[in-house]
Amino acid sequence: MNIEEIQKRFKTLYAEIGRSVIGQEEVVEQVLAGILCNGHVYVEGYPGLAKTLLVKTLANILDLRFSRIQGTPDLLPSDITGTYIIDESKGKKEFKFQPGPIFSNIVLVDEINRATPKSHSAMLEAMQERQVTVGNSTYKLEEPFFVLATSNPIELEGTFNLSEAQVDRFLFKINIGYPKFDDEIKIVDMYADKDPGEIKLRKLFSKDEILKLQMLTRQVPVANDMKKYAVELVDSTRKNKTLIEYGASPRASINLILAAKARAIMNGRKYVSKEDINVMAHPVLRHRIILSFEAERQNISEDEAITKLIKK
Amino acid sequence: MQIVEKALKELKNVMLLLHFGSRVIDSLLLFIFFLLLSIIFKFSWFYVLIPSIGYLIFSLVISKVNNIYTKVENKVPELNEQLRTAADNLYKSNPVVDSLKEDVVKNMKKVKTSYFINEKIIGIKLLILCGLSFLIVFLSFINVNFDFDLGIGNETILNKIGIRNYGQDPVKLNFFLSEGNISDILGNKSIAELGNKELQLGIGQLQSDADLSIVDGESELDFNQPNFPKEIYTSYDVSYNEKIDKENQKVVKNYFDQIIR
Repeated sequence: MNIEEIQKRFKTLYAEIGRSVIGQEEVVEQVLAGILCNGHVYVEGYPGLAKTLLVKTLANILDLRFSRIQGTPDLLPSDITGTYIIDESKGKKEFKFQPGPIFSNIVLVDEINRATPKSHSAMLEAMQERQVTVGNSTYKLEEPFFVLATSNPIELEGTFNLSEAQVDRFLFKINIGYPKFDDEIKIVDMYADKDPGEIKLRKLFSKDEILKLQMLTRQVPVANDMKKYAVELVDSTRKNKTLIEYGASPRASINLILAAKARAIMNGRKYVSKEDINVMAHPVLRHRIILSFEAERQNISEDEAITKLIKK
Repeated sequence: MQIVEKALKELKNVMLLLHFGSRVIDSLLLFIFFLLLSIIFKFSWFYVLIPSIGYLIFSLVISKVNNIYTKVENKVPELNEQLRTAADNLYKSNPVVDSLKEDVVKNMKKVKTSYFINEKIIGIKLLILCGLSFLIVFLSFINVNFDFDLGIGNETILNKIGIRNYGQDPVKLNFFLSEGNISDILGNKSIAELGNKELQLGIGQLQSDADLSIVDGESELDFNQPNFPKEIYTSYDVSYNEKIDKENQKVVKNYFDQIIR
């Protein structure tokens, strides 16, 4: 699989996703970059913006197992990881491990902020270690393993926001907004007339190809001045106290370079450009910085603060 | 050595050579300009070398050629950001990096030396160089003298370091180092400072017995006939160790003494 071929296949992939998810090209690109980086993505958006549809579409096209976890206040860790059940099928009672929904390739955790912190830790442990420990046994999660967690920025009563340390474990935070007017017309045309289940999508990548793409992504070379630029950008989030109270950690530098590599390979390039770093800076950094009081007073958002740092 | 490594090395060498050439032309310009000033203001050629050599060393050592690859990438868009990436990952090997190196080697054929030579600026510099050189030759030919003397001639430096220029009056050297008072012999020092005015000098006759004003005619002398005493004669059969009579020995001795006088 050479880079030119990868670019063509990704163009086909975007077109295929576009048959189900109208618009949201930036979100689609970032979610795909998250898969290539072997990371996890946190999506924040209002209800009804095709978050679940996007993940299901991806799972279909990439031929990966998909599962969904709905975040509720009564969600237990065992509901996520799985538990031991009594199995009498062999004539005698014995404990058998029943894997939870986390044992999939693509896991959608809807409204993660509604689940309890205990559930958060069970989820985050699986995300970080790619394994689940139940009792005395450890179970490895199958690769590729991708978690897309969503949250609703409204109706925050009774929710448990992820702490900064927990949010830091997500590669990206993607803000999904309302579609454009023309896109919404197309959405109405498509989904008011037929059922979304009727749309048959082609399988374009296999599991092995996804794993190979993940490996190739890490192999994309980066020039020294690009690395320096990325680290300087992350470092500026710590130094600019006018805008940012708490800056990003070195994990952000690693993830920024990785995300830039993914974007490069998706665009058929064998090198990382400055544009890749600038574009990926927003999803990588926006959940890793805490704005200063002065910035909040001036109604400056995280994205605006990052844009100001990039321009400097 | 990999092909891409050779190509990058060659590219770097060419860029360094161009940089060096450009600095040499600049320092030559500076040299010619100061040489012109030295002719006009009559100061030593030594002072002409200092700024030009200083500029050459400064520009080569201090202002190093940075971002060679960025300069090349700016001229050749096909290599944009690829050249630096390939150079920084020269010793890595994986399918993506190897493919990038192949692309870089292909695209480097599009790099031409003429992209980095600004013909206009070099032409202007060479014209100025020729113009100044012509001016120097012309001023030297017509022997222009503006009568500007900054008083920093050869003697000031060279005397201090003990080097004498060709044709320099030895009297003026290390005057202060000589022992004793030689003003009785050479005259008062203050008199030696004659300035630029023309002097009329007369040379007095030396005091001696010989009167050079009296010039006699030539007297002819015959050197063919030896003026030996008659008693002395030579013969071929007289050997060197043959005994000579005592009386004759005295004559021979006296003869040779008289000749010596």
